[in-house]
Amino acid sequence: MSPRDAPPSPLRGTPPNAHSVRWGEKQLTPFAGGRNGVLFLPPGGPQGRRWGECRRSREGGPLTTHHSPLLVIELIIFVLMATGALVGAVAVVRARNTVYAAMGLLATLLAIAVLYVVQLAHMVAAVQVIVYAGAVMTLFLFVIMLVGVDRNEDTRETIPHQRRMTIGVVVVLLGVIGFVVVSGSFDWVPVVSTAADPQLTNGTVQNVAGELFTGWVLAFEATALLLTIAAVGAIALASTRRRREES
Amino acid sequence: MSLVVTPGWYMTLAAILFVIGAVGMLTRRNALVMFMCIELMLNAVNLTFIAAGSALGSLDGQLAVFFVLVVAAAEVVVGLAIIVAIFRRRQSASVDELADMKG
Repeated sequence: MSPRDAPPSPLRGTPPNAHSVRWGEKQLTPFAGGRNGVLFLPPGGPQGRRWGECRRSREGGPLTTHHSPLLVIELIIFVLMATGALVGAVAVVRARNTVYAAMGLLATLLAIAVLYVVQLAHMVAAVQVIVYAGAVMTLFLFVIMLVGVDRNEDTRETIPHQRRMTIGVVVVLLGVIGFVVVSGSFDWVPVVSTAADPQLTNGTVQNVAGELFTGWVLAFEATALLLTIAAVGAIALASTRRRREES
Repeated sequence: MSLVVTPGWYMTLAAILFVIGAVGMLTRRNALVMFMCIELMLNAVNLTFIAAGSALGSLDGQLAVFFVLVVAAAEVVVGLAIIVAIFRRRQSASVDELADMKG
C-alpha cells in the first residue's frame, strides 16, 4: 500500500479505531500524538485537518497515531530552534563584548518566534519579531553604542561568596527541572478545551483581537496608561535641561 | 520514549532558558547585559504561556504573552533611559559603582 492510499489519519476526526494506519504504526495513548500535526496547514485547509478536530477526536479511546511527515517537521524545527535559542542565551551570558550579547539575544528572540508559529500563535510571533527583535533590540544597540562597547567589565566579586551562591542557585534550579522532567509532570496533556469552537484557538489577528477587545479590555486600557507613563518617564529622564540650569 | 514534540518539550526548553537568564543576572556586572538577561527570562516565561495555552486550547496564553511584551517594551524604554542617565553622570554602566547608598 503506497502512502497515498493510506486511510485518512485519525487526526481528521474519523472514528479512532476505524482502520489501521500505515507509515510506521505506533500505538500511542490518547493525546500523545502531538497536537501540531496540523503544522502550517491553513485552518480548515484542503484536507480539513484542523487542530480542533484532532483534539475532539482524540478524546476517544486509544488512538493509532502515525509518524506523519508533519510531526517529523515539527521535531526538526523544534530541535533546530531550541539549539539556536540555547546558543543565543549562552552567548548573552558569556560574551565579553556587549554587542555579541545583543546578537545572541536577537538569535534567541527569533528562534522563539519560530516556535510561536509552530504553536499556531501567528500574531504573537509577528509582534515578537517586530517589537522585540526590531524595536527593542535596536534600542539596546543604540544604548550600547552610546555607553561604549570597548570597556572591559570588572569581574571582581563585591559580594562575599557570590560565585558559590550562584552555583548553588543553579544546581537547585536544574535539580527541580530535572526532577519535573524525569517524573513526567511536564507531559500533561489536558483534555478540556475552553473554547466553544476549537477553530477560535488559532492565534490569528482576528481571533486575538476579538478576545482582546472583549474579555481583556480592562487590561488593555491599563496598558495604555502604562505606556503613557513610561513614555513620559523616559522623556523626563532623558531631558538634560534642568541639569544645565542647576550647574 | 516517543519523539513526538509535546508541550513538555517547550516547557523544558523555557525552563532551561530561564535558568540561563538567571545565571547571567547573578554573575554579570554590566547593567546592559543584566537587562538582556531579564529579557531572556521574560521570553522563557512567554514560551511557557504559549505552550500551555496551545495545549489547553485557549487563547488566553497568547493574550498574556501580548501583555508581557507590552510591559517588557515599556520597561526597556524606562530602564535604558535610566542607564543612559547614570552613564552621563558616572561614565560607567557597571552596577558595582552604584553602591554609594550601601550601609
